[in-house]
Amino acid sequence: MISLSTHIPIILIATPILVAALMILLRKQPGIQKVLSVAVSFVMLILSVILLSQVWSGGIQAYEVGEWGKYGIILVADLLSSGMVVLTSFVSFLSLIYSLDYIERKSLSASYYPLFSLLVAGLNGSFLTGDIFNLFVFFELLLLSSCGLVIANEQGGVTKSSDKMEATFKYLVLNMLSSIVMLIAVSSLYATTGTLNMADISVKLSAMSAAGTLPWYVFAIALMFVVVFGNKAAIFPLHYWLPDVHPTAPSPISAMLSGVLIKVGAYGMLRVFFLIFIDTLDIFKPVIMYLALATIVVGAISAVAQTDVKRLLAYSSVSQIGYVFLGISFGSIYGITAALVYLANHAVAKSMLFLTSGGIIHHAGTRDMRKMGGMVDSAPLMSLLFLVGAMSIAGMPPLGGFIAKLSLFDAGIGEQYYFAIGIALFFAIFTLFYMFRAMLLMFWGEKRDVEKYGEYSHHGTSLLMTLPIVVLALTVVAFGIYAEPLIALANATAHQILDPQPYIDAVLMRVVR
Amino acid sequence: MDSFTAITIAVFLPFVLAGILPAVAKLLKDKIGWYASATALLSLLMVAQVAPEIIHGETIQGTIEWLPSMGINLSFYADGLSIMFGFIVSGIGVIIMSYSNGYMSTKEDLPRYYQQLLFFMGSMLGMVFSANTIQLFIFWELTSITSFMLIGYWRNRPMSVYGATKSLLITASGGLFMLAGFLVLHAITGTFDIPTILHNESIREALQNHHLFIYALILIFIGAASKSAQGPFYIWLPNAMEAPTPVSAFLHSATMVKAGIYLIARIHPMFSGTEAWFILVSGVGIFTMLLAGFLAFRQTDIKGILAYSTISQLAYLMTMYGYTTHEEPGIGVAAATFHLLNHATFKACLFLVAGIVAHETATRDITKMGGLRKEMPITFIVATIGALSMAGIPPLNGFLSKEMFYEASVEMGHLLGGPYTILIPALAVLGGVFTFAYSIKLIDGIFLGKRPTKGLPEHIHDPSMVMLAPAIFLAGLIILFGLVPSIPVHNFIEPTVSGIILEEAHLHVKLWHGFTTSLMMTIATFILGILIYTQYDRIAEWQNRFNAMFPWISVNYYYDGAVNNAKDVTFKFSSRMQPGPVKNYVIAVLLLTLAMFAIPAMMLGTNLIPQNLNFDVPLYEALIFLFMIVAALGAALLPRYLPAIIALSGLGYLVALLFIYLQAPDLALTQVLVETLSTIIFLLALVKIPQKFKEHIPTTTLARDLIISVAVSVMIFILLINATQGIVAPFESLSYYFIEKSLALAGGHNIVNVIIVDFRGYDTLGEISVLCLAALGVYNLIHSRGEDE
Repeated sequence: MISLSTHIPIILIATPILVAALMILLRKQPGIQKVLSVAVSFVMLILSVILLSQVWSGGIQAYEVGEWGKYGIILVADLLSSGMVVLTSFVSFLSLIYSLDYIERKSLSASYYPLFSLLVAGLNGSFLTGDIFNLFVFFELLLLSSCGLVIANEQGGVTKSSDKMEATFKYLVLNMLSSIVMLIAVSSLYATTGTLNMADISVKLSAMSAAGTLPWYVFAIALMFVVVFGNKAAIFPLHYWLPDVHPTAPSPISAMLSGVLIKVGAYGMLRVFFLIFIDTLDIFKPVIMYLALATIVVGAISAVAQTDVKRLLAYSSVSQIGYVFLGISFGSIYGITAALVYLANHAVAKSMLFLTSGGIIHHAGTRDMRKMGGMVDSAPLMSLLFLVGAMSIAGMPPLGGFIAKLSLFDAGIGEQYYFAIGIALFFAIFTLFYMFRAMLLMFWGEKRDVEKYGEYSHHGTSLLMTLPIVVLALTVVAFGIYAEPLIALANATAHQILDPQPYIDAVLMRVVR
Repeated sequence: MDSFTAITIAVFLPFVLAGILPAVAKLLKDKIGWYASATALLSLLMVAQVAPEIIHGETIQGTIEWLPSMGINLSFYADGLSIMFGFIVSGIGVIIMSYSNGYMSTKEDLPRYYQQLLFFMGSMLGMVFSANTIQLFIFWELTSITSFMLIGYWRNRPMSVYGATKSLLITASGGLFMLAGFLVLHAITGTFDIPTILHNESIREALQNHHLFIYALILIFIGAASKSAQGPFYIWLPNAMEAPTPVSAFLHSATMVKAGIYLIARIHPMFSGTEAWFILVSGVGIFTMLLAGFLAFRQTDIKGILAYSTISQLAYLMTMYGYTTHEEPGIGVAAATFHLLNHATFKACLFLVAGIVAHETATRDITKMGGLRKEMPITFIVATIGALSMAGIPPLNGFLSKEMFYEASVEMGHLLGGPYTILIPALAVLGGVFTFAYSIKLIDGIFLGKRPTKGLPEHIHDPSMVMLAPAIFLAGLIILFGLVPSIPVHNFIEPTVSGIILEEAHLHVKLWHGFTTSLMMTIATFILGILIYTQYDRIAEWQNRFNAMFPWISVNYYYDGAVNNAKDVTFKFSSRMQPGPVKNYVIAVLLLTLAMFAIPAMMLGTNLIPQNLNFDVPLYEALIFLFMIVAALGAALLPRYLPAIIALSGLGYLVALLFIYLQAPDLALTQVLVETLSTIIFLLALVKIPQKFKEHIPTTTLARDLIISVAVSVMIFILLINATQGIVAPFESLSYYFIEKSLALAGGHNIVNVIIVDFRGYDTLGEISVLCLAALGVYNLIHSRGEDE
């Protein structure tokens, strides 16, 4: 019997592609596009939650696209991938609602909705695929759709088109480069193991390792994936595109990019290294730890220097993703649990901050914090929301960021990575500093003449813009005050990541025609 | 109601009632302060309900499940120490919030003010009753944040913002170190639960012998010192005086700044009895006590004097809690605990007076005041009681605890022996001398002497009872505790001390206890104090001159330097890191890729090139390769675009040719199509741009680029030549499956086609979407360009 609930993985990917195609045809009807995309996004959110609960209670789901078993492409929903899909659906649903009032009318009706849909398809596809070449395909989808969205215009035109072009150019060049690296790595892997299915590769590499025939260059191939995923996640020294791209993108897109897209890199590392290249973990862990620490340091120091609020948030993302990778580099249950909690909190808090910054920019008519000041009186709600986000990123209790830092530091100290934790701790103070300095610059201090800066300065934030931020803020608070579900989920996910056998069984133990 | 519930209510009630406060404020308008006072009173009653059990020597503990996955629960623990703090916090809370009704103008944003005060009170109560370190930290940081909000209450004043930022940076960062300390403690003891460690001797012993002991101690102490403004961290407290005066009285003298002291008392049983404890806690304490007491002379702002005095008094407490030896871990505990309670009474009282004076005279500058005793007689009496208690004059409570301080100092000096027998009591007396001097200055400067002819309002009078009554109440407590010390000692000090030294404590505190050494020290303090006071202004002047001459001998100098230069320094760093042109970033990516290849190659790569390579290449293939190399070099070296593009497309066609030789005609066909199309697009674009490379590239850059390119090429060559040695046995390619099933199951003769449309048709869906996206992107570009023009 065919039941809808068994097809959720493919629905989550195919629907947005289909909807995108439909909306290109409907591009003269912005009203229908608007309703359709919000409705679909909402349905996807519900479906993704259903998928996660199915995986939670029923174990890992493998979905064959075309009944070819490992010879075709298999989608796999385990806790990690379905959790990431929920995160994607949640942030994208809220960003989409926010976009309705934020994005300039013409950009909105031209191609915004289809591009957004394809971005979601790319994200879901990357998370759910069990095939490494398919991952490459969806990375391309991610790259191109995000490029298209970065150049969409927001109302008021705070960002110059030429800036957007330059940023997009850098984004494209650097990501194409990493795509080439990925292609070389994937094809070398295929040439060595004869398969593209990740579970199958894993089995074959383990067998080689057991038989002593594991060639040395498999280690080189593995580490090339550090470049590939590191580039997506913007870890040092692959982060250079991010501080240009995230600020120039319109705020809801910045929220998507910083909130979800860079997490694809973290997801990829977890998936590829802990499923496929288990034998290389001893080299991978120290490498990624030093890269993570460098990322924390560079991102945090650079963030202090920024006067553009969105650029500050972008550098903060660089620094924060370093913390996620630090947790991954511990490679233990606690480390990975911490990394996942950190990742979830950053996804929500940072997308919230970017959306809030959109509201602030809308209000002040500029991105330059030096031109703002004393806005707590004219925009009290934005001020409060920014404070919640800033506190969470800075790791202040009782918000989600605190739980994240707590679990990360606890894991690190428990496993005796004192040096790493020392660095992480010291730069947590930088985080506190730049976040609160930004807040004080914008909201406290002497009042500036807001009217002077741009014609949109009198604009408040509409309900459609405020609501998503409030929902995200409540989530951040919930992550802190009642963190148990999140931690339990992260913990179960970490167990699943560190024990790949059920994943392999789910994928390979099936009848092939 | 059982005791655990009472404590839980005491902690959370302020949060809940503060949450609905803005709504209530719409009803009560200007009277909202009384709502806040009532809330504080409720908390006080809850604490009071628990008190009898604690006085009988019991402790209370209870747990609500919160984060079982991390082993962290919401749990409260009440012993003498927490109950005493509970009384101080909620009791002074009631006093301050009532007082605020008179102090705060109705034009102020009252709901925000009271809401934050209540949030603070709840956090502080939560902290002192916390039974586990993580929960303690959470409430600890909440007090930092609410303090930040309250210091910055006047959000538009630059000095408020400065003070708020400073306090947050120092106390919240210190808190992070403390958290690290707690986590180290967790790593050592395996628990976050404080009572478990307190009541288990084997855990405490293991802790003291652990090699991480000293790190845990230092980290936690940094947290305590930053919160209680000790050592170099003292600098935030004077700037915190930008807060409304009731806030200063509540947070920055009576309660929040004592959080560090609370923490030291709380961890006393775990860490004391070691040399490290004495050196760190007492050492920093004595240093701060003297420095802050001395620096108080320079202050002209009455709140400034009180701030430095608070720092110095907190340092007394640190010093006393730090007195320890292995045999006798808690020498100064009783003295410290009693002084802690007394300080809360007299310092809060003095702050309330400062608020009254500032409210009535519209200035806080002590040099502009004088002779106010006639106009404000009641205020004068209250202030005198507070200041004399601080100075240690009998029969007030400050005298009693200072005597105990001297006694403990003598004992500590005696136990250490050698020069310390004299040194420690002498330093203690010196601290007392400074305290005496500035206490007298407060009374003398404000109330005695002559009234200045100008600068003060004409009519100055005692304030309304709303403001006066709380101060009078505190003055009453000062006298009561002084005359009948058994009340506080029996009810608060003994249970607290037993909780800290972990054995039954019986104290005998009397006003008159004979001609002891400590009484001699007190008398010496008075004499020296009076002598110093005669030189008060000269010392202050000297300090000012010194400060002007050596501005770099001050912690503030470095704090301001760090914060003000932060932007410039980091800006230099970030612009160096992010130079702009994309080429640098490409190099970074390539270098990392090389490193990622080099690490395993050097660690594991015994032979980078496979041994049995097949060099049997037919001549025509070798020729094609030769041409390819020539074409590639041409593309890189030719100075004009047109020939370079032709060379590039030549390379592409040669690859197509190679595909034909390798029996992949469809690939070759695709390659030819792609190559043709891209050449045409290139040529079309060429029409619009200059025909020559204009920019001059320096030789060094060229060499660098060349080295990187060659290295990358070599890397890819080595990787691919290894990878193409075939699938590692015993595994085989998927192709066999495709060959076998292609026709049978998918109905296609051409395997590549079947793979594309069937076996891996899903990939194709993705690729089609990518193509569609590229088209959309171009459409968008053209679209938006059209708009611009």
